[in-house]
Amino acid sequence: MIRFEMIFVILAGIFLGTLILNEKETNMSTSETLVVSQLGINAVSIANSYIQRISNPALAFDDSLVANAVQPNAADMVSKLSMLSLYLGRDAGETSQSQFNDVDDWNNLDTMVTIDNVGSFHVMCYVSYWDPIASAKVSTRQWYKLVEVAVADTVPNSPATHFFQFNDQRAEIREQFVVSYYKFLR
Amino acid sequence: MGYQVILDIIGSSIIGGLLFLTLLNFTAQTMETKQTYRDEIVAQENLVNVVTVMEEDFRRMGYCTVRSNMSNPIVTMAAAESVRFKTDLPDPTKASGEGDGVVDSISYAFGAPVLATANPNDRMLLRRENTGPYGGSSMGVTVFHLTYLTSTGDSIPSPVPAARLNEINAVEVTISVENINPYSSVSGPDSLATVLVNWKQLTFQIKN
Repeated sequence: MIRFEMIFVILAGIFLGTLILNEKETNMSTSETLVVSQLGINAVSIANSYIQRISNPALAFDDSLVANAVQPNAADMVSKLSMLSLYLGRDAGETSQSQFNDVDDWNNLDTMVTIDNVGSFHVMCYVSYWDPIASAKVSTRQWYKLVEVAVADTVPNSPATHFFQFNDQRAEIREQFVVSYYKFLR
Repeated sequence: MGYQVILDIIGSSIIGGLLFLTLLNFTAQTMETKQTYRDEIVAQENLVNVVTVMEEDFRRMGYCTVRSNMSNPIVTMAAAESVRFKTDLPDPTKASGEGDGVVDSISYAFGAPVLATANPNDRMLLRRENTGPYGGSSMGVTVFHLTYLTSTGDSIPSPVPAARLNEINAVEVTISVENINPYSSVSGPDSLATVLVNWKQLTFQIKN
């Protein structure tokens, strides 16, 4: 026959166990938030790095303009608009980022970046023409290009991310900016 | 019967003692964990504060409202833990952050260890505008490392000689921040527990 004392001891054990488990769960949650926070800081800095690289004044606005500068006057800009590339992406012979010589070479770049003691990040870049009046991405030639950089952290050997899931999709840091040809005129 | 009562008392005292010790240990570990989290939050906040100021400066590297006033080399001194570069500091009379067109310089240097904090690893991160005095920030910075890159992405060994300063096209910055007040850990009372937060900006592109 189980005595009352034994029941009290079991109840005390259960109470203590529940308390400890609850606290551990809270700690795990806080820990995850802090990890995600640090990953987020670094993901933003990686996105900024790529934006800095793509906005490098040494790059041309378009491959067709590398050796064919456009004069800053309306007539020249209208007549030479048709020279701009319809294909946005790396050109023949450009196998590494150091060989990129114009803004849209970064289109569809899909690469990994590792930061010591932090983790590995998946980086994707997209470049498209931008219509400033419609404020929208377009497929026709414009003197503006929209650059988008997306960065997601990676869990080793898994497609998962530490960033919170959003609508069942990989959550990621996404930054975008518009490059105008006027910036290249001196 | 009396013998049974004594046994019950001894047994319950042992079980109660074990539960009490478990509770004490649990409380100590919880306190330490909470402290670690607080330290990490503070370290992350310090890191973000340092980075915010640095980002603003480095993003303006080589920028000048009157472009013709800026001349090469943009980076005039380049070492692993210190740098000086030309920029155009924001004109306080303009709300947009635009410069006044006069070329300025900003210097960063990693200074001496901060003796006022309990952490033996943190050092002063120093910043200077033009020829003014250095201002220091004791935010627990333990690593401040600069790497200089050419336009093809190759790194130039530091310190960069004056003849190669023109080759610098981008700067890579690595910063680590620790909590400035580490404490003795429950598990290892002889060592100081520190929280480390790392940050790296791969590229700061020269604007000129």
